This record gives sequence, C-alpha cells and structure tokens, in this order.
Amino acid sequence: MSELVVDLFEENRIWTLKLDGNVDSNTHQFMWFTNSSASLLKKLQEAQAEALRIDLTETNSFDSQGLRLLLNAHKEFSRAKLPIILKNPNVHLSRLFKIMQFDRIFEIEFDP
Amino acid sequence: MSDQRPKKLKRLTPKPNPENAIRVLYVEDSAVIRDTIARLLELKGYKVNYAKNGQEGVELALTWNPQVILMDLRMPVMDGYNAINEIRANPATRHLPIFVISAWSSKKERTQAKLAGADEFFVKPPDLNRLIEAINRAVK
Repeated sequence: MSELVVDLFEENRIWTLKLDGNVDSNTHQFMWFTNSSASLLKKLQEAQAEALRIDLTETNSFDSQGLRLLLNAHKEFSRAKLPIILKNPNVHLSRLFKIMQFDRIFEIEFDP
Repeated sequence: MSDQRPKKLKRLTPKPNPENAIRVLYVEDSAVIRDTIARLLELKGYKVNYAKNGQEGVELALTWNPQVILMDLRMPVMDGYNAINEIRANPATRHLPIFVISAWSSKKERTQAKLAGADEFFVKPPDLNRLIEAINRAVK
C-alpha cells in the first residue's frame, strides 16, 4: 500500500508543498494538504503568496491521476497569477515530465 | 538562511484567449494526454475543447465549430478512422483540417489514416512546435 506524507510551509512568501511518497490512485486525494487545490489556492491567496513550490525530492512516482491534478492546479493557479514550481523531480519523474512536455507548462528547478 | 526564491517565473498565465483565438477540437480518450496537450495549446493562446471518443468528436465538429481537429485513432465507442470518415462525409464539416495524433505509427496506421481523410499524422506525444506550425498553416 503506497503512502503519501504532505507538509506545507512558507518562507519569504514562497510556499512549499513537500510530498513524501507516491502520488497514485490510493494517495492522490491527500496531495493538496487541504481538501483540494482550490482550497489550497484560497489559503495561499489569503496569505499573499508569490508562488507554490511542490518539492518532489522524496516523491518516487506520479500516476496519471496525479499528473492531471498538477495540470488542473496549474489552470486554477494561473488564473490567480500564482506560479507552480516543481522542485527536484527524480530521474524517473524528470523523464516523465520531459516526455509529457510538463517542462513547457511548469517551472522545474533543481537544487544546485 | 539561503535564498529560496525562484530565479525566474515564466508561463504564469496563458496568452490572452480572445474570441478570435483559433478553436481546436481534440478527440482523445486518455484524460492525461488530453489535458496535457490542451493545456500546452491553451498556454499558446488557442481555445481548446475536447471529446472523449470519435462519436462525441463528430458531434462537436458539427456543434462547436472548430477550425482544426486533432484526432486519436484507437478510442472506445467510435474509433478515429470512423470519426474522420463521418466528418469528411458531412458537407458541413468535410473541409476541416484533421490531424491524427496516435501512439500507433506504423506505415499501416499512417496509410489508413490518410485514406480516411487525415491531413497530417503526429506520433504521440506530438512535438508542440510542429503541431502549432501545422495548426497555424491549416487555418491561414
């Protein structure tokens, strides 16, 4: 049974959503810390956030439902002019994001 | 404390999507592929609608008034070949450019798609730049 542990914290108005585990059909409902990306967006707007960084350092895999959650969130957050940054995807995820052309949709950043 | 701010922020919002944006109908049963290509095109300023199978695609080709149709081949209910046939058989939609986007890219598939009436063939996932060039060329 896969698990997903989610943590949310803020630094200099950049909010980080840290995902630890796999985002799949068993866990995707836990991905947003709140009950949906829309409620997370509301929380970030109220906090006058400048961006949401999704830290994937400890994330092993995303299934198609997880990828769709990211795409839908991008749509919602874009309307609010709040960018989503994907941080430190592993080799497997980087390859997946490249194939899916997510690098044309999201900022993807790596630790130096 | 290290500076955790992102170096730059791009693709914050899609280009404006005015009423005269090119209307693209994407017929594809895979939700994640559909959402991804639709989002990529929306970010470039296209207006995108989608259908989940060929039957819905044929109906939307008539009712939504697309300027270009992107068509998967293997889908439930009605496959892409039959959908292209129906779109080409209807005087109201026969002029529409249809680009096939398929993971099945053998010579046989390409030939069948062409015989059905497809204008271009893209292997899934399609190169965005090539796809955009083809869309823009088709609606000129």
